[in-house]
This record gives sequence, structure tokens and C-alpha cells, in this order.
Amino acid sequence: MNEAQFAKTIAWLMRVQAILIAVCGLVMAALGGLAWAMAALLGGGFGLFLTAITALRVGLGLNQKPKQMVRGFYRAMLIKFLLAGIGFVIVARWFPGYFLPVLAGYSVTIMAYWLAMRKMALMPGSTTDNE
Amino acid sequence: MEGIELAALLAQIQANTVITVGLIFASAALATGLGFALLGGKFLEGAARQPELAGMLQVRMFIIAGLLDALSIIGVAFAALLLFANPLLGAVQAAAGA
Repeated sequence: MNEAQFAKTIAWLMRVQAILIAVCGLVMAALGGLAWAMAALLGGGFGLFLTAITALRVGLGLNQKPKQMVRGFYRAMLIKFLLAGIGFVIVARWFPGYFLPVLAGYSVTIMAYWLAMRKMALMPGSTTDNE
Repeated sequence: MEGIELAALLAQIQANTVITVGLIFASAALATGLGFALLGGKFLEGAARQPELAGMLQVRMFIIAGLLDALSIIGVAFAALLLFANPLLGAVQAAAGA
């Protein structure tokens, strides 16, 4: 898989995330009004941003030696985890009233990963049982 | 006397909260650490066997890792809520105020 295919997969993932965030925003608007909708969009946008920077860092490691790829991957995940932790601490500390919609917005971005896994499983030649 | 009982109740809730937060952090660290270790190990194994598939494996690893660290991040988020704006404590304080 080259960089173009990787970029295509990530673009698909982020597109699905954006759609799910918009749906979540609408649901939150119905439940708690405009403020909750904005909070959900903010949480979702944060998840989208984290996906983007992680994908960027992982993508930079493509076509390198496996050891360097794993190193880059772990660094990307560490940064993602730290930024997410800091973000949620800020929300819990200063905006506890909006914690639920922010978390809901962030959580729907994870659903896109499930869909991406399903997409990859349905791709031709995706099976690992090739013996 | 009522003030002391209230303080004891609040202290009990805080102590239990701290234990809960510790358990959340510990289980999140343990599960994510094991998951990422397995993921990285299997990736290296696969890349060593079929180096031409390393790029494809990297993408799959990225997607699985997105799911793997999601639950830990959500756990940490709830731990942050318990630490900084504990809703259980608020309920007791509200009841005491009323």
C-alpha cells in the first residue's frame, strides 16, 4: 500500500467521522439545544483533529523500515492519548456542564473506525487465511 | 454534629472516588499497554514475513489502534470528570444545602 492509498483510506475515514459528528450534533441539538450541539461538534472536531494528526504522523512513517514504522506509530498514539487527556481534563475542569455532549461527539468518531474495519474486511483479498 | 457527619460522608465519597479513578487508570494502562504490545509485535512479525505488505499492515494497525485507545481515552475522560467535577459529591452537597 503506497501513500496515495493510505491517504485515500484516511480521507474516507475522516469523511465518515465528519458525517457522524454532524448527525451527533443534530441529535444533541434536539436534546439540549444549540449549546449542546456546539459542544458535540467541538468534541467531534477534537476527535477528527486527533485522527488527522495521528494519521499524518503514521503516514510519514510509511515506506520506512518496520522498526521505524512501529516507533512512529507509538509516538503518534502517545501524542493522541496525551492531547485527548488534556482536552478532557479541560472540559471536566472548566466546562463540566458540557461534558456529556463533548464526550458523545468524541465517541461517535470512534464508530468510524468500526466502519473502516468493516470496509477493509469486505475488500477483496483482505482475508488473512491465505494458507 | 451534623457538620461532622456531612464531612465524614464527603470524605468517604472522595476516598471511594480516588480508588475508582486509580482503578480506571490502572485498567486503562494495562489493557492499552497489552493491546499495543500485541499489535506492534504482530505487525513486526507480519512485516518480517512479508515485507511488501508492511504498508497495508500499518494502515490496519492504525485503524485497530484507533479502536484500542478509544476506550482508554473515554475512561480517562470519565476519571477526569470524577476528579474535577464529581457529580456524586455535588448531589450530597446539594442535599446538605437543602
